[in-house]
Amino acid sequence: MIMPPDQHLCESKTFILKAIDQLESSVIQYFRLSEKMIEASYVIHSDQDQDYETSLFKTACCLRSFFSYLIELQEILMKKKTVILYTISREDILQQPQFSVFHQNSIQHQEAVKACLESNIKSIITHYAWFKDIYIMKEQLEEFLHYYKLKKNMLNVYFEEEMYPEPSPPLLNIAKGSYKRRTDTQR
Amino acid sequence: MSMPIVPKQPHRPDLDKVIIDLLESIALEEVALSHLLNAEAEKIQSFLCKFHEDHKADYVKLISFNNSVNSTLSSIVMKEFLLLRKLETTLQITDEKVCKKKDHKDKPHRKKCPPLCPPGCKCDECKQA
Repeated sequence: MIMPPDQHLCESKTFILKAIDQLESSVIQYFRLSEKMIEASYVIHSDQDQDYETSLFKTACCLRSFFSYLIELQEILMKKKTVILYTISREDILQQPQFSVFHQNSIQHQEAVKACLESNIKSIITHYAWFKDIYIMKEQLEEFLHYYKLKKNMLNVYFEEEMYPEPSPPLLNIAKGSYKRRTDTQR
Repeated sequence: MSMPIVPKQPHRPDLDKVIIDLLESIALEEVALSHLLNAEAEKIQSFLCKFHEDHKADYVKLISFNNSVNSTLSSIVMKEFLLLRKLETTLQITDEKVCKKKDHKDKPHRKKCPPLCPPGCKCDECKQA
């Protein structure tokens, strides 16, 4: 059966969204693993030796770059989602079942990322609070958490069924008195 | 230097098919990257398990391992950025195509202008002018 090009286009966009979903779940796995990595580095540093400061600095630098890559990856994925959802019509998003599945997955991922970030920040504070470089990492994570909450709300707007208010009419029409409010049937 | 000669292909895809192919290629690359990320995550997990078991574990091992993970992640981030650019460009082409179709529908078909008469012509329009 030959599909019409518009339907095929929509299908390929859904395919990309599914792939992004898969990638996002992998990134969440990394966020979960990062906590274990913090714990591992803490285990080494619990007994203070001569190279204590140097080793702590090096591991902190590594963890910082690790987190910055994860954050960058997550930001790119969110941008991609927004770019694709922007091109799909509102009716398609609300009517087709695959988008509701995608939305549910997306909400689960959002919650998981939020929880992981919060627990990471907490464990960083408890394990490394005294070290200056760690503070930068903590700030970075907190900043991303804030950014993530904002973007999360923006993405959810695409799946909401609420109607938007009618745009204000041109001033010229109001001055002439020629403006008539649209009725429900016209909408 | 001579120009390369591209052989003529009997079945050239049209713009719609090309766009769909491009989108599908992006999706497949995304899936491949997610597989790579999963493999790297499994590597981290096995390393951490061994690390906890090994009582003589030192930070040098941990740092070198962390560096290797970071280099993989950095390559994936770069690839992701390139894919984002590819996606934006592909969708831009789609938008332009839709706009052109709309413009073509909206515009009324104009008659072609007749060619200009040569000097000294004695046709009816030239006589009236």
